[in-house]
Order: sequence, then C-alpha cells, then structure tokens
Amino acid sequence: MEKNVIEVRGLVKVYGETRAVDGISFDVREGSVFAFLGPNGAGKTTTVEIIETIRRPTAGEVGLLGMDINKDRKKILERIGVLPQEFSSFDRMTVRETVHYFRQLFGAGSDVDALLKLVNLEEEKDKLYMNLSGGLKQRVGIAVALVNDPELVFLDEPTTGLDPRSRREVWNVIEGLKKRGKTIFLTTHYMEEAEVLADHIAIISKGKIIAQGSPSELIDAFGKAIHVTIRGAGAEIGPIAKDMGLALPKNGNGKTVVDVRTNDQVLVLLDRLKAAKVSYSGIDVRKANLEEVFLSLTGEKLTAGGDER
Amino acid sequence: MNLTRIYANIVVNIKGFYRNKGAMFFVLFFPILLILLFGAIFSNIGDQSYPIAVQNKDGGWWSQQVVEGLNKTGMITVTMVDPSADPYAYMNDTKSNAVLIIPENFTADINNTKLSFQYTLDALSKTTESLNYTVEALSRTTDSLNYTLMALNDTGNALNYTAMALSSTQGALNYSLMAMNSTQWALNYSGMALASAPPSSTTFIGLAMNASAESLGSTGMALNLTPAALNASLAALGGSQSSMNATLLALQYTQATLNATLGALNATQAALNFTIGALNFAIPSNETLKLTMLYDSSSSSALTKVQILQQVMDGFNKGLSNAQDVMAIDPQSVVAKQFKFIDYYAPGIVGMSVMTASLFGTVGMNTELRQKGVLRKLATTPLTRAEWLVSNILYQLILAFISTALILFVGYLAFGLKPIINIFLFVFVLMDVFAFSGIGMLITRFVKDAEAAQAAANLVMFPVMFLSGTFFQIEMMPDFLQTVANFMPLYYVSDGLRQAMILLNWAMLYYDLMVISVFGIIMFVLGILLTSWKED
Repeated sequence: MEKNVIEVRGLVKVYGETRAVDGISFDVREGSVFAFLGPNGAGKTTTVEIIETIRRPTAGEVGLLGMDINKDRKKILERIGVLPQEFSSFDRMTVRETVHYFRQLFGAGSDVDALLKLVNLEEEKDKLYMNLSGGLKQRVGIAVALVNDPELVFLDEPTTGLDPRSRREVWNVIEGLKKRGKTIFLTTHYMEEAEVLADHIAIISKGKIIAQGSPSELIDAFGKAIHVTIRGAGAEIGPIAKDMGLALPKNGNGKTVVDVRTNDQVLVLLDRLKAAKVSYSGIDVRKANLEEVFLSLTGEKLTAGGDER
Repeated sequence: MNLTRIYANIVVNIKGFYRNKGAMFFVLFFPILLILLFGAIFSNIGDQSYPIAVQNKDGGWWSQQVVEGLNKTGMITVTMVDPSADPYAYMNDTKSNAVLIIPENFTADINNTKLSFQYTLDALSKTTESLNYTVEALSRTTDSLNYTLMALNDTGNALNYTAMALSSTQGALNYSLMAMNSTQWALNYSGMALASAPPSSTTFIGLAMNASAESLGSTGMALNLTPAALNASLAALGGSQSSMNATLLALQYTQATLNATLGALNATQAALNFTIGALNFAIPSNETLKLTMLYDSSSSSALTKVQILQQVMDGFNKGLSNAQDVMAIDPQSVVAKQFKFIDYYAPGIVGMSVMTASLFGTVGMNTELRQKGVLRKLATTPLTRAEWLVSNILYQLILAFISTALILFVGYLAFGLKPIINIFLFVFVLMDVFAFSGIGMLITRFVKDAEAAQAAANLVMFPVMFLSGTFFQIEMMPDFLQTVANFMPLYYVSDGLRQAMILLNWAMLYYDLMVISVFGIIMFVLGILLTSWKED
C-alpha cells in the first residue's frame, strides 16, 4: 500500500491580519503527482514554502517523509528537490556549471550529464543561463531540483510565463519524472496542467482547500454539464432542448451549444437530432473542465486573483 | 562548515565576476584608471616648467645673468622677445600670459649699486674695528676700577688698625700717669708719716713704701710697653700711607683708561658717520631697480610665474649684497623614504576601491540573488547561511587583494610607486572588506529592492568617499567637516594604509587599526546576524 510522503494538518499562516493559509489539511501519496491548484494569491506558494521549510507556519503540523519540518530540516532538505516559483539562477554560469554547482552543494546525488539528458538540455549545456529561453531556464530549474536524486520534488508554478511549446516540453519532463517514480508536488494555476499531469488535485482559494480529489472525481462532482456543440445547425435545436427539459441552447459563430447533465442525455439528444432530420456539419461533446469546477465552487474564474504572497 | 560548499560558492562568484565585463571594469580596471589619472595629474608636481617671455632691452651682462638665472630655476622656460617689440601686442599675438621686461641701463645701474655697496661694506668693517677697540678700552677701565676699589678697602683697614693702636697707647699713658701720681702721693704721705710717726709705726710706713715701690715698678713696666705701642702705631700709619699711594696710582690709571675709552668712542662716532655717508651714497635715490612684469591676472599659472620670479629676484638681491642667510628652512622628510605625491594618493585609492567593491559587491549580490529567487533556491539546499556568508566574504577578499595588487603594480610600473608591503596592508584591506561588506549586508537586510539598495549604497559611499581624505586632504575642509571626517570609517582605512605603506607612524597606525577593527567587526557581525534568506 502506498504511503503518504506529505501529511498536512490544520496548517495556518498569518501575515498581520491576513490569513494567507487558513487551516488546511491534505495528504500526498508516494509516487503520485499532487497538484495544488488555485489562482494567484490563494496561498499555494506560502503553503509549499512552509512544507519546503523556507517559511515558518503560524500553526498546524506538517509531516514530510515521516519527519517533522520544524525538527528535521537538514535531513528533509537532503531528500527533497525544489523548483521555486519564478526560479532563476546565476546569469553568467553555463547550464552544466549551474547544475554542477547545485550538485556540489548536496555532496552526493545524480550524475550531472545524466540529469542534463533527462531534462533534454545536452545541446545547451555550454550556454550561459542568461542566454536561455524561458522554457530552457525552467528545465535547468528542474534539473537543479533533481541534483540530489530526491524522493519528493516540489515544482512551484513550473510553466508560468512560458509559451505553449515550452510548457509542453516542461510537461514532458514532469511526466518523465513521474514514470521514474518520483513524488511530485505541483502548484499551478493552469487547470489544464493539473488535469494533464496530476493524479490528485487540491483546489485552494483564499487560504482554504475547497475541494480535492482526482481530476475526474472533481469534474464529476462539481462539473455541472456536458457540453454538446453542434456546428452548422439551425434554430430547430431550441425546441428539442426545451422538449428534453434542458436549458436554452447558446448560439454564436455558427455553433449551438446544448448543455446536458448525463451521458444518457447526450445519446437522447443525438437521437432526437437524427429523428428531426436536423442538418449539421459537425458535433463535439466535451465534459466540464476544472475551470468550470472552480467557477462552480467559488463563483470566480481560476485565472483571476491578486499577487501571490 | 563544509569546505566543498564554500569552495563551490567562491568558484561560482569568481566565474560570474570574470564573465561580467562591467563588474570587472569597475572593480579592477576603474581603480587602475583612477591611479593612472591621479598619477598623470600629480606626477609633474615639483618638476613642471612654466613658459615665460622675456624682453631684454638692456642686453648687458647683468640682464643676461637674470635670463640665465631664470633658466636655471628649472621651473621656467624662457622665450626671448624682440627688444623693440610691443610686449602687449606680443602677449595678444602669442597668447602668452606673462612677459618680463628688463629695462635699458639695467647692467649699468646694478654696477653703480654694487660699487656703492662695496664702500658701505668697507665703512661697516672700519666701524666694527673701532667698536672692538672701544670694547677693549671699556674692559680695561673696568679692571682699573676694580683695583682702585681693592686699594681703598686696604687703606680703610689700615686706618682702623692705626686708630686702635693710638687708642691703646693713650690708655697706657693715662694709667702710667695715674700710677705715678699715686706713687708721688704715697711717697709724700710716707715722708710725712716718717716725720711724725712713733717708732712703732715705722713698720707700717715701711710697708707703705714697699707698696709705693711696687707701684713705681708697675709704672715703669707700663712706660716700657708704651714705645712698642707707639712703634706699632707708626707702622700702621706707614701702611696707610702706602695704601693711599697705591690708591692714587690706581686712580691715575683709571683716568688714563677713561681717556682712552673716550678716544675710542670718538673714533666709533667718526666711523658711524662715515658709514652713514657711505650708505647715503649707496642708495642715493632710495629706489630699487625695477623689472616690469606684464601678466594676465586671471591666469593661475601667470600668478605662479610672478611668484617664481619674485623668488629669483630675492636670490639676486641677496647675491648682490653679499648677504648671508640668517635663517632658512632645512626640509627633513619624516616619512620612511623619499616619496612622490602619487605614493600618498595610492593608499587612498586602494581603500576606496576595496570599499566600493565590497559595498556594491555585497549589495548587488544579495539583492540580485534575492530578487531572482536564487536565495530562496539556496535555502532549500544544505548550504548554510554561515557557509554562504563565509564564501562571499572570502570572495570579496580575493577581489580586494587582486584589486590592491593591481593598483600598486600599475602604480609601480607607471609612476615608480614605492609602497612598503607589510602585514598591516593586508589587515587594513581585510578590515575594509569587513566594514563595508557588513554595511552592505545591513542595507540589503532593510532595503529589499535592488535599485533602492543601490541608491542606499550610493548614499553611504559618496559622503564616505569625499569626506575621508581620499581625493581631498581633510585639512582643506572646514572645521565641522573635519569633525565629520573623524566618523568616516574609510578615513581610518586610508590613513592606516598610508601609515602602513608610507609614513610608518606606528602610533597613528595602531590607533587607525583599533578604530577600523572595532567598527569593521561590529558591522560584519551585525550583518551576519541580520542577514536572512529564510522568509518569516
């Protein structure tokens, strides 16, 4: 049976009169990818930095790899890898020198060249850090987070600010780590990232965890509809939906979107369209996503919010 | 404390520094530029030459001597101007700021003056001779008076003794007379007694006559002594007479010497009269020969030229009058060796360079790494804060020593800089690094933003740099700023380095070392204690 590598209970962090983290509790299972999902300012980074031992909690308990973060900091640091939010390194060090430097700080760990191969940075190993693109820099950060061959890797917003291609490259690296059995604690405000990478998601808003579970569990539990998009159809869809007891379809850009609640209703709708000989050029069926889950939970869009503390 | 981590951190810093051309320039090459600049500006002090135009309207021997004398100063390069040219037009045309004009008849006037000086000198020589004789005469007079006084003392004593002898003689005679009277009366009464006395009383009469006979014996003795007393009195009177003769002789000598003194004084008066006459002849019009100097008063170099010319003229005047210096400055350097101006500036540049490198190096590193999140990343590694601080301070020290060595080496190559290298040089550089790295750590503890921290570092650096005697000697500053300078840590570094490298004033060196060590260690410890990379 898989054990928990992180156990957080009643964690609180207060800045002045602001409760940045307000009594949260969760577990992270060994070998899983745990996504901490929430908008900027929700308390993600504060929480992860407390777990990484960089910040001190106001209250609560954190168990990490079976150790207490307040007592076993040195041992913990030797067994975890951290990619901080907005990671940056020494501008005038090459990629290899950077990874080698952090490797020296730990004294033991992974082979530098093997790490560069793992994050696909072999060709860039002699380039100065300052001359790398954002995506390459993040991959250097991930390599640096792995120099001590950690059991648990924290990746704090690893793809923020990256273009889609770079983001996809980082995702590939994270998936590679997952395959190697590393436990990954991922904080992100990209629901797609969490949905693609995570085994387990905790959604945090205003310092509180408002929901957690696997992506499908969350969508199933909190997603309100399945969206059936019919392209090139006419106004005849409205009466069908009304007849099925569904909400009024939304029209625009030659598309008509009908929201249904169950998979069976999708099939019934398709049958009705066929029976009514409605002409259309295409049909898409899409389940609710985490964005909608978050919207339904908080009434706010996931990407909204202030600065992270 | 893990040495591998410290070494890794130092290597990272050095590589980053080596690849950062801007940092290389400001830490290593800017101080070199500074020392070259200062060296170039100040290396000519003491041997620079000012050009000056001379219009010689005389052409005689003495005017040529003036021109030659100007050239010999080594401070002036003479350009001759046509004697018939208009000096004002020459100044305008050639942009000269000073022209010296030697007037016509300059040589003849000097020769006249020199001749009259010779007469004056002769007269003064005779006057001196006369004064010497006068002094001799007065000396002799004093001797004579002393002898007279001694003779008078002796005469007084002789007279006193004579009076005492005469008084004794008179007493002896009086007693003799009284004895003889008594004897006569005794004999008379004895006769009368014999005539009338019964035979039984003859015995008593016989006794009385015996007594009378004794009295007469005593009187006889007294009379015998009287001639001796009279002889003694006579001898005393003889002594008094010879003493008075000696006194008279002494008084005669005194009169003679006084006459001689009077003669000498008369001769002196005559000599002085002759001297005054000679002086009047020497400076018949009470006017000095004038050379005209045209100069641009708005030019500082022209003013310097005027001063140099005045010094040259003073030299000529002394030479012409054969005057000797009564007093003069004997310059004796208190420094360990003969040093040039650049030797004095170099320690200040070393102190300032190490200060800026340490202050801005620490501020830049701390704020940049904090803002970029590198510190946050380092906080998640086994690298401890102490290891990080130690490696940074070692890195700053390496830079400081490289910078110091470069400054001194370039100074040596370019200007023959001759600093004394000793342990104190290293100690002061170390304390410089401690003090300003500490201040840098304190700044970045309270000012998180990189630009604001740089501004704060500038706020520290500029007053410290300008008020510590690096560029301006603090003696040139107003009193209150001199007081402020005493609170500037760099002042003690620069002064201490000067003491260590040049002046070797150990008392001052130890004082500077004590102040900067206390300050440096306090700042460094505070910086270490307050520097944190863990968030609250």
